[in-house]
Amino acid sequence: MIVLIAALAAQAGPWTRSEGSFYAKAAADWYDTGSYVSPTAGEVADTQYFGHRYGVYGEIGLPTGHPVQLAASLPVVVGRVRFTRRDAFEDLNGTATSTRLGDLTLTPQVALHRELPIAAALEMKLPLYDNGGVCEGNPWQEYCPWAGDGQVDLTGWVSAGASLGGKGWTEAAVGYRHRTEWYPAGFLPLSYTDLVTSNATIGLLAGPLALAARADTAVAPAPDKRTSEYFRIGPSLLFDIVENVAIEGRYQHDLWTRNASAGFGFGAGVSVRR
Amino acid sequence: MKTSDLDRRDLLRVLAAGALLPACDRVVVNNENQDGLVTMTEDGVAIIPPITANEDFYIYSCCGAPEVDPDTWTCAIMNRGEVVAEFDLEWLTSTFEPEDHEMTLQCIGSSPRKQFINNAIWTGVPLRDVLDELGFVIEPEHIEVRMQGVDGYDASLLVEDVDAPIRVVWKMNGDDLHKSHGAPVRLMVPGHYGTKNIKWIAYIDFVDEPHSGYWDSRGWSKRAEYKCNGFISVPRWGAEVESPVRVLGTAFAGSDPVAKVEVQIDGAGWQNATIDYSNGPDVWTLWSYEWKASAGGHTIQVRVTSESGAVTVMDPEGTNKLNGYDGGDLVYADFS
Repeated sequence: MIVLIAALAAQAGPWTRSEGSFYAKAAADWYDTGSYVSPTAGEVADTQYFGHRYGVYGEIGLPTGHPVQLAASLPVVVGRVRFTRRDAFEDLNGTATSTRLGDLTLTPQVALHRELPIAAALEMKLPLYDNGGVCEGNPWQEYCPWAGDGQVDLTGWVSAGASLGGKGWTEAAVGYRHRTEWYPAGFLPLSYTDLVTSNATIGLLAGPLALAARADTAVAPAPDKRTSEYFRIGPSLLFDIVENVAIEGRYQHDLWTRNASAGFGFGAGVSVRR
Repeated sequence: MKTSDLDRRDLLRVLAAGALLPACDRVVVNNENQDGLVTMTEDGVAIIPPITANEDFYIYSCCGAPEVDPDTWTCAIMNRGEVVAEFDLEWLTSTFEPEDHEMTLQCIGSSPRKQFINNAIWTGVPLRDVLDELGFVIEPEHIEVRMQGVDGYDASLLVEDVDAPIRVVWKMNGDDLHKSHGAPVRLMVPGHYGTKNIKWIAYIDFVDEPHSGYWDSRGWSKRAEYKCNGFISVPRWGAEVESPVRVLGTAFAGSDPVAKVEVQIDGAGWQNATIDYSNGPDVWTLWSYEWKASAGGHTIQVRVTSESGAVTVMDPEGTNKLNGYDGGDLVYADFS
């Protein structure tokens, strides 16, 4: 669950920005699923999860003499769990909501070729929250969702893309996510396993409109009982409302998950680029 | 926790504050009542009948409601697991002159949302009389009496509690016990929550070792002695009410009679409530408070004091539900 909603973050493509070029987006994402998978207790019976996330994402080309860019995202995560506590003597219905700064991601990326869109990137996920303080002292603390798993992750990416004769594009990326087991908040270290991540996109251009279909996977070479794995697909739409300013919308559907409940998400944003 | 951990957590809080986003958590649970304590008169007036009709009496059973044939039912008296005597319903009714005894029963899991507390006249005989008639002698080594129902549910009490007295009961408000209330025979135990009042009693075993029963092995109080508690039954949480209002509720502290019931409006001073019904130990106290409320939302809280000086706690959720509700209920209602 946590991994899935975090994975809604935008990600740089293989076209590394040159010096002075930038892309910035403000976006909101929603994610809905029929049950809640607790990081500590697994799937919790009689629960439903609804999360939303508001954040900013940006890419900027750095003055290095070679295409190198830095991408960053900073979300605010609002998680809401609707639960029914089936007590021995009474059923108690309620909702638990937590709002936190989420995971700051910083992703330096370097072009591997001056002409071809091939790049390597290192994505650093830095949690800005303290899971130990979520609903601290509340009798229903177990239902309160975390903003993330609280762990620093390092993901190495290699990506490549190609233009489809001016009518569209395609791109793909493969990565390896190393779970560092470093928890800055120093609370409840949970063991997660490393993941092989990948994504592929094909997009079509039609004037001010760009329509894309994307698939994302995260699969553990050595699956465990906690790490979330997934395969999801979804379309996205970008429409230039004025030059260099676009509105974006997208949908995702979880086709397969492990240690996470399958749900769906959608998002909307406004972006500026140069 | 290590100092370095605290430092890191503090750092995160500073980061969050720097982003002008204090962390925010919120948990909301509903307060919908689910019991049927209050009934309406033909004139449309809400009342809590002092004696609860059998069909309105709360029912809670952990393990179903077995159908037990009264003609074949027997109860065994056991000594350390060995059956030493047995009796049936015909023997009970033909051997003893039954006694009527008014007694309130409250569920240990009752709460402001589920006011599982009712009062009835129970007909039966003290367990001590049954044991004496059967010639069973409680030995100095016996420390607990373990009781089990036909449904497999069990609980234990100290042997001293036999003289509380535990009663062997077969009628409720003059009628044969209904299946849901333990027919044909159940036990009633003054001073102890419903968890110790075994329905469909199958055997009573005097043992040398402490025993963990069904609920106490799941974390609920082993002694299950009633706590001083008070519920507000009218109005209910969140109700829209026309003023003036007659606030109704219950007060109970088991074998410790209720001495005083007070009501507090909007956190102001405590006012004495009117005692509408009281009948000594082991029987609930029903109270009311007439109040002309101004328009708008108001809170009403009840405080109960027992003769021994026990007082309900201010937290309307109580202290620890596993020991039984000990709070003074608090209700918010919207008045017009």
